Amino acid sequence: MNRQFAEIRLALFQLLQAAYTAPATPELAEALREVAAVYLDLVERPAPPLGLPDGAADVAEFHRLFVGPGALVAPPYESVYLSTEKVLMQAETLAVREFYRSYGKELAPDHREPDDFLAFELEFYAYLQTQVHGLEAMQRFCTEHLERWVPTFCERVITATRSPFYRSLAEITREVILTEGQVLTAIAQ
Amino acid sequence: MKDLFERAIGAKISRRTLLKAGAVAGAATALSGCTSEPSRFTSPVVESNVKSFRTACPRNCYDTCGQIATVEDGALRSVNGDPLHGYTQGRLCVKGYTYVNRTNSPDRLKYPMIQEPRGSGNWRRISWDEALTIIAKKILDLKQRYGSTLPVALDKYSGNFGILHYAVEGMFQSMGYYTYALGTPCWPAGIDATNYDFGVFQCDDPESIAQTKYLILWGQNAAWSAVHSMDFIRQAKEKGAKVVVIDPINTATASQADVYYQIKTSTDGALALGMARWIVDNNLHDKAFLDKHVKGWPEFEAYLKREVTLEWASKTTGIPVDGIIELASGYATTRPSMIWIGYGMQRHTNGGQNVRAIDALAALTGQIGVVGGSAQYGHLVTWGFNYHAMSMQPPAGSKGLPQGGDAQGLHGGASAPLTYTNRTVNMNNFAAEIQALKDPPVKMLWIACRNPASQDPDAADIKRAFASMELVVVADHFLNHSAQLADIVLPVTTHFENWDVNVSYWHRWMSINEQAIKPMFETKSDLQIAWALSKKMNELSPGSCTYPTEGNEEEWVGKEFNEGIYKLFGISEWRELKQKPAKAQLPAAIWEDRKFGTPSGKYELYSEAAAKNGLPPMPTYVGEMVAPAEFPIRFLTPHPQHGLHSQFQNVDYMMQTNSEPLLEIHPRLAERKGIKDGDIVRVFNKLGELRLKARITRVVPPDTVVTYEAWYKDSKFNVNLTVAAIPADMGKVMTGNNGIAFHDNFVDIERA
Repeated sequence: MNRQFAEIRLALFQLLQAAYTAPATPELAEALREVAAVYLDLVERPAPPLGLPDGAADVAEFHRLFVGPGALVAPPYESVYLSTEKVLMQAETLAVREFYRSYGKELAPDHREPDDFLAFELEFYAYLQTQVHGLEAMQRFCTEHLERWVPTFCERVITATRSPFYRSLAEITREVILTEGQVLTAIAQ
Repeated sequence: MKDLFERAIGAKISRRTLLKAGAVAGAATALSGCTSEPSRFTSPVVESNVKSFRTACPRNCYDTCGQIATVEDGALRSVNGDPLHGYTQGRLCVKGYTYVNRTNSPDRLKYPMIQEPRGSGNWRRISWDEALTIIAKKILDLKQRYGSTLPVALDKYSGNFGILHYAVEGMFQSMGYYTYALGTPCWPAGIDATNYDFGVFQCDDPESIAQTKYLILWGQNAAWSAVHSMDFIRQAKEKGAKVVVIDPINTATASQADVYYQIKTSTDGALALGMARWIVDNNLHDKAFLDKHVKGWPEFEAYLKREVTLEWASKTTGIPVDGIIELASGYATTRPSMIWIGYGMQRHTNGGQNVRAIDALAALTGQIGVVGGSAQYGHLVTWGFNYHAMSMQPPAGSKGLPQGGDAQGLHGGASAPLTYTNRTVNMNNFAAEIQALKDPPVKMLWIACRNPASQDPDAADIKRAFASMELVVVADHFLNHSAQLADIVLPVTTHFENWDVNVSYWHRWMSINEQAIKPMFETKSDLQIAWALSKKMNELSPGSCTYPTEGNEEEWVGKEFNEGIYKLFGISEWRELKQKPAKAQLPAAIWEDRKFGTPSGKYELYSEAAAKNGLPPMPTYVGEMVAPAEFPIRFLTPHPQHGLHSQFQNVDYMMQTNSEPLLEIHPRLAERKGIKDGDIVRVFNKLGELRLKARITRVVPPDTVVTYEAWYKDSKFNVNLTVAAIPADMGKVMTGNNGIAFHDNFVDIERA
């Protein structure tokens, strides 16, 4: 993999992680729009156009979708999609924790959130990009975790959101995750 | 994906954008409230492991189960019963078995959040510091404007009965004199009744149900609301005991009984008096006991002979005369015989009086102080903790409601010292009273362990009361109806995430509640909130709050214990509870010495104290509330199986098991109204209305419709839209205010 492509990928996952951590700033949206457009073009996938977030309305929407205080529209946690009980802190969460550990990482102690929070998984995935033997780890993490739930999560957002910004974000995320397998194979060759 | 890398090299993307991405992502990491480290990740040190903890269900429930929480690598994996708890015996209930799902629900309140404007649904996350700053500033602002913290009001009750949760009251008391909701919506009429009759609020060990030979479950649906007692009932049955249920509804408990009597709602006193009359006529009363231990027997006997007949009792209650005889005969001749009086039964305008009439049966047959006998209601004997969590006093110079002293300087010159007190409003008439307060008015509301928007009568007026506030803070687990009306919601810990100690108002066991997992997300316990708010108050205005600003929760559990508790439970150190729950060492039959706490020292059939309070001195019959012509159908809203008030039913797992409320209608009533099973029915009265699906069934009486009160996920359904704040007849003496006649709610129905 060449340096330019690696940097684009790193930027993409860092920006996606940020977009699921907190309500998007215009700055974040612009950077993500540019990077996602370039990346999806490179990997020959449709690139949904990403506008700017709509101020207070999209701040409220971010919370409604992912944070609360009401029942979440699209809980951004792997175990909600993959466990039988569809709640937090299930065996799937502990499996993600174990995956992080096996690559030398763990959530900082004052983090009392599930390890399988989407932003954490994306941050970890971005970290793997910077590692020397990261490709194999990324292939495993993608197959065992990201691919298995993130597209379903994205579909839930797309169906339920009132926000053009968050719909586009979810569409971009889905495209990126759905293509990851192929891209990693291409990189490996 | 041809030439991926070549095309990448040529991709039009600025270096600036790529560099910016890292910076933006880094900035977002900081915004999410993570550590100051650049990454959320660190190097692992902890080994994966499985641990067990002793916890105790802190809900408002007879059973207060001992639990064992199993935690794997800091995640709550299962919750089961503690086999060493003598009453709950290693089992939970249908609600308790959803604790993992509830604790780990993605819908839990995770962070402090603010809604601007209130009621808009535009919520955003704020930090604890921001939340506490807004709250502290408002309290200090109100204190400055009004000269006291009386404009701040607390509504708190039973969402969590763990002793450390009295930190909320402590937190407010340590800021000054404040306004709070006094009373209990739950059981006060029966408490006063017990007090008039026995003089002390206590009862026999409910494990002695296993020793009774004849058990009357009077308005008591134990199979749903005190399920662990069913094992003691089973034990009694296996030894040949007869079990009888008296209830307007043919409940799940009734299905386990030998005989079920469907009584006309709220006429229980008449049934008890009819039984008493038959017992006396047949010479089955215990004359020696009545002479020695009962005050007012001659007067009561005269009343029975003069005014009570079986025919009257039958007409009033709807139970055939031979049914009343069967009941009276069984109760009086099968010894020992026990009556368990349910709380639903006293939620009527004549509820307290009905409880007195039923208590009288135990006195009449001399079965007080007899193992397997007695009339059982509840107790608070095991609750003698220090309440250290609420022991802090207002700052010197605080003003409140003046009491005593020379409040108006009428005597001129040197006046007697003026002292102050808190101001109370009736918890059972909260909406009306909180809005009516003046000098000063209430401008801020704090809700903890309570959900008035779901549980108070006149839900519409509760909404108006909230709307009149400058600031509403709700501390809770989910965005329930009250939280939806708040400015700020504060996410609190479940009992698995904090330390506590728990006892029951029914059985005699005490359980430690060990913290099993760290607080999830940014949740805090009510005690931790008190420390944090005190710290913030003192930052902004030194000395404005005397509550400690930090502490060790486990140590604070220890501070609740005293010699009295140790002696009562036969332990020498509270940490012994980590090994197993402890049982209060009391006689099974609490009245075995026949020493009563009444003014006469005897059981009082005739109570002058009751007369002084404007009540009948004897358990004479006071008629039930009659339906108004306009709304002829009684609407009962008892306690559900799948939830406890507004807790549990909203959890996804429970929604799958029980997805919607149903209006139970007798086929005769349904036919009159042209309603078929599954039709949507409008239930309405002057106060408000509901719409829900009909379920045609014979378990309910023909003049009554029934639905079980609960908060369903994402639903506006609330029975209390139709319930008015009608007071029950008693409760003021022991709890500060009379109870609520929840079950004297009258409506009409029509197909929607």
